[in-house]
Amino acid sequence: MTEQTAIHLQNLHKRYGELTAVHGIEFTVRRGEIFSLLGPNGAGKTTTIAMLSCLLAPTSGDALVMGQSIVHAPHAVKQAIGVVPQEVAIYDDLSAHQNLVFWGHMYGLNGRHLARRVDEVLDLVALTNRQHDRAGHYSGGMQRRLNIGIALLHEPQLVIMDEPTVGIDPQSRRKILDGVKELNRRGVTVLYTTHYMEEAQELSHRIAIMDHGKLIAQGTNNELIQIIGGLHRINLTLSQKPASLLEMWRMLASVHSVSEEDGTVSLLVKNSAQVLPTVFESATRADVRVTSMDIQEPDLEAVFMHLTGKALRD
Amino acid sequence: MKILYITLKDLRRALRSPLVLAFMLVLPSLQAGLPYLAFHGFSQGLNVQVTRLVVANLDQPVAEYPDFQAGILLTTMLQDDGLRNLLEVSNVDSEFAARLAVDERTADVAVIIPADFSAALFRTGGRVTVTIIHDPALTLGPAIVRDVVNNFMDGFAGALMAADVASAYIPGMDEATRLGVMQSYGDWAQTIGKSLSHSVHPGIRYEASPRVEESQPVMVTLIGPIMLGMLVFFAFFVGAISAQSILREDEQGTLARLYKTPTSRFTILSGKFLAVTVILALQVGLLLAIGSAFFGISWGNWIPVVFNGLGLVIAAAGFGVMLIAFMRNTRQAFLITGGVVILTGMAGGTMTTSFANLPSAFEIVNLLTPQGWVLRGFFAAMRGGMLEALVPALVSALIGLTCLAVGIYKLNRRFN
Repeated sequence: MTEQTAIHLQNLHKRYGELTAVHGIEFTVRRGEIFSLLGPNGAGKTTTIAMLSCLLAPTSGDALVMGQSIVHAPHAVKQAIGVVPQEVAIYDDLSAHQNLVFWGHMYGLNGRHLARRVDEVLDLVALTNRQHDRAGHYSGGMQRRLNIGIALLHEPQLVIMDEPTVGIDPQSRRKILDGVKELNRRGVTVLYTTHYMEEAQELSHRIAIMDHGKLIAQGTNNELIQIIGGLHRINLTLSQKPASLLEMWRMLASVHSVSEEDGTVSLLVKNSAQVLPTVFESATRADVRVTSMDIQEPDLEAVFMHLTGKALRD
Repeated sequence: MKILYITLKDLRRALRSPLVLAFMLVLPSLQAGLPYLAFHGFSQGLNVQVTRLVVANLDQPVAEYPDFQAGILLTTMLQDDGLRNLLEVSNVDSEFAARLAVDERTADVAVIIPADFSAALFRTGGRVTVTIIHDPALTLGPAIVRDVVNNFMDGFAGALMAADVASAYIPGMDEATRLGVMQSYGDWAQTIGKSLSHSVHPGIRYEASPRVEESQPVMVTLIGPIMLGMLVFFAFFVGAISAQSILREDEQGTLARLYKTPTSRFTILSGKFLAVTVILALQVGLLLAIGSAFFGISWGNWIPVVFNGLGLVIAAAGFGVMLIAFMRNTRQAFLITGGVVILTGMAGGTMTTSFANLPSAFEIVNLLTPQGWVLRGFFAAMRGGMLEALVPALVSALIGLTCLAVGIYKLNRRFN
């Protein structure tokens, strides 16, 4: 733990009776970086965020956030961070301006300072022109932007974003991702959770992968991909999927794993050029037609599949 | 200060809600106002339309007893103070003028007292007819006039029969004695003409309760308890609805977000509780004022009224917070808390405030609910009591604070 550390988790646990939602995770987020927590739904990301933002008390363990303990100094932690919740959490019967003023008060802002920050944030999230309209009348993307703006009001040096792009259109998603990068350029540390591999890859300096409440890998994008040793992914759409054919492919020396999702069969392979002729030949012999195919460079999806045996979206 | 910001935000949201406003002011006012408007106007007293009565008193005094004029007695009786709100009496000097007034509808009823009215009352076997003419479309006004005339005639007829019987059965009773009987009868008759608060026998009198008669018109004494019952019932309803803002914020995610700000849970819940109490205080204050200004209800001395108002506000707010703390969501809360408030309201007696002679066991049931204690305090205040009104106010407030403590304990456990 140094001055350059924004977040440092120490064996953090959260249990609900028999269920362990977070199982002794540890990682460190450095100041000034975008750190992504990647994992499927139910992996424990939101519970981890809830503990780091002092909404939930950990069952055991601790975390230092901007140098303050979430167990012993939750008030100081809350003052130091901005949190963007997964669901839009705004008052839809109040205007954007009224929302920002209220939340500013909750962060201890008042008077001219608050008025200035409200104007700046409205400008930042591009809602100045609609600031006096009821938030309930905004589009989903506008509500998401206001949701983010509230977390930035008190100019926190650390912003925690819990899946801020869930359920929005691609255009709004792009604006949010660009906004996160811009925020980071201004020196703000971002802890970003997502189950979209592409977002984690695009945004993050470093990534931690979670599954079933455990941290299963962490590092830069390249470091994580090295885990699977440069495996390529071949996605095939087949006219039929006889179990014997998939089993035969699993037995091939170059094939690392075979999985099936949404009608697509995915093969993780060391050398696609070497494997493909065998794959086509065996398919023909089994009277199976390959209707489409694509080959992907090694990515986080492949890493996750390699580590857990399932796809990120499972 | 954060408490106030939370309170102001909740007030702004609540007072924009048509549901809250309906339960807060409109429904309780309607509940009390409808029976009031059905039987009563916005003025004091029973508002039966005043009947315009003309009296043609043609009566002439009898020679034997020149000071006695039955026609004047009957006219005086019709002009009695007790009938002032019912009859507007004017005099005309001829039968023709009386009939014309009714025909031209400048009067609703006419009474024509014949010239031999007094004479007929003093002579054995005398016969006389008092004529009552009225607009055939009217019922209540003519009936009142007819009753007054009948009462008068019955009294004289009874006394005259007594004099005739005495004359027939007392051997040797001379005309001077009979005249003496009639004279004392005349004196008595003049006495009853001065006031309707006499029975036909001067030894028998009736007296109405001065409290009801002097300070509160009858309809107001009926509307007062109804209004009070509705006030208490809907205050608890509004308490439960307003406290649902905690659940609504939970569902919208804003409560969790509030908990993530550097604002303590105590501050957040206190701000929300304060908003509920302000809404209730507004409701109770406005309804008390409406009851007083529009329905003429006297709630009693202001000190016990204020304390009972505070007791009601704290009890309703605390009860509401406790109820919603056990609910999972607003949908469940609306159904279940609504049911609980209705049941406890009924058990507390809010629906039966104007019912007399309820079983005494019901009074014990009343006091098992906060509503029952609030009602007890307000009724004691309306009766003019002080200590007996303050004790229930204190009990109501204690019940409310206990409920609040349970509610906050339960709500705090939600996020651990």
